[in-house]
Amino acid sequence: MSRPIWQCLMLGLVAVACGCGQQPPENPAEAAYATFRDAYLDAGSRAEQVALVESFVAEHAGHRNAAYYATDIITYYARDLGQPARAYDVVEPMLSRMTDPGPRLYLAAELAPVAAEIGRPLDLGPFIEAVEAEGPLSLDNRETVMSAACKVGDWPLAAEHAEAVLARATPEAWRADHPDREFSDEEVAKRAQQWRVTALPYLGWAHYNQGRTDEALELFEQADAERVDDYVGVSPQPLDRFWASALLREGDAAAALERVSRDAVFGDRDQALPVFRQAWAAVNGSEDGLNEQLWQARQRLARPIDDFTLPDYDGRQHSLSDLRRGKVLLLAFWFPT
Amino acid sequence: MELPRLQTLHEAYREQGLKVVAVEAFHETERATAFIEAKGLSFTLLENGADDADVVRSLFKISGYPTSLLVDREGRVMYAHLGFDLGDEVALEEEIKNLL
Repeated sequence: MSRPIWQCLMLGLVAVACGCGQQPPENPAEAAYATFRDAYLDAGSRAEQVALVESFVAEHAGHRNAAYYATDIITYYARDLGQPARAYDVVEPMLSRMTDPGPRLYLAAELAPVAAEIGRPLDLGPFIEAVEAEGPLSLDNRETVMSAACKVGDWPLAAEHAEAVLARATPEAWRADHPDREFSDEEVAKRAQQWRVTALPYLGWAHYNQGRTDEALELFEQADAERVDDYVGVSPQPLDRFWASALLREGDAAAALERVSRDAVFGDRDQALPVFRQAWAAVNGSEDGLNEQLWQARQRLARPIDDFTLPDYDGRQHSLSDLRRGKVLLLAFWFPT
Repeated sequence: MELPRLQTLHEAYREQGLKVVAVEAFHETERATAFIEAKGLSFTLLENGADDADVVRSLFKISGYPTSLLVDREGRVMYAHLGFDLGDEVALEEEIKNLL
């Protein structure tokens, strides 16, 4: 996964969920999609899923969810099998057959780091322009671009889009950009803040890599002051990982280790673990004891679960504390697709 | 984690002390019960409350689905996971074995 995994999955899942549950299949593409989705969810391995995705996209590249599923192909070939060139060869031709510019930008951005890795850089410019031709870029579009730009080290591109987000991240600008949304002042202020906290880490990291260290560290401080964390204290943005990487390069490995610990145990592990590993090796002199260190971080950072009482489908009330008493609990939140 | 995969974990580890609980977030009662029946799910299935009783969004601040939390016997959240990528259940199962 090449962007913040929580964001990425959320986008994908929301797109998938909105796409499939609400109306019965009314045309051949929707019928094919429904069949594909059921088979995908029942598949027993990623290889099987990827085969299904490839054949679905071959026939229905224009489907609005095709791009989200196609990211599986990248993950499977480039990460699971370690064959980035194969991922590129399969996915790159799909891009030109996709018609929905937003999802297509998302897929292109997922492919960009793989393309860079094999020395065939992918220019996101045309994909961005295609979205812009339909209207202003959304925050999700911007984040897609910022994330990919940071992955491939295109700091001017990351900074350009972060600055564009910040320029619109005031309540007034946000309201002007979304005239159709009937939100209260409080909701608008919250969304403007979300724009700010999304852009600040990327701008900080871009600036840091452009040699603007003091500005970068100040931006990380600002982002930290405004961050909105999830239940386990992880920021949806890569703030802590970027900040830790900067601290590490500034020679403060202990601060870097502390900064990236929560992400490494509860957040986007794929992205945060390499930073944690480097910071630990720098503090410790070698990677010895890495797993023990991760386990200790988890013990230290784990929060207590809140209690609640909710009904089952027979109307009986259950409190979580009664249900989990003395047991290990696996608590899942879901909705039917 | 997808619910049928939770069922597999439920069956494999309940005797060792794993409790699986799933909360449906959006009051899709009819579709939820149809799904539960079709898949033969037998772990604890609860329905989220509305408004002030909405624990999924207000208490747990969940915004992506499916999200899973793994809680140890002392009530500490030791693992959090979002999404349904195949292969993820291997990592989750390892964590469960660590905690049991």
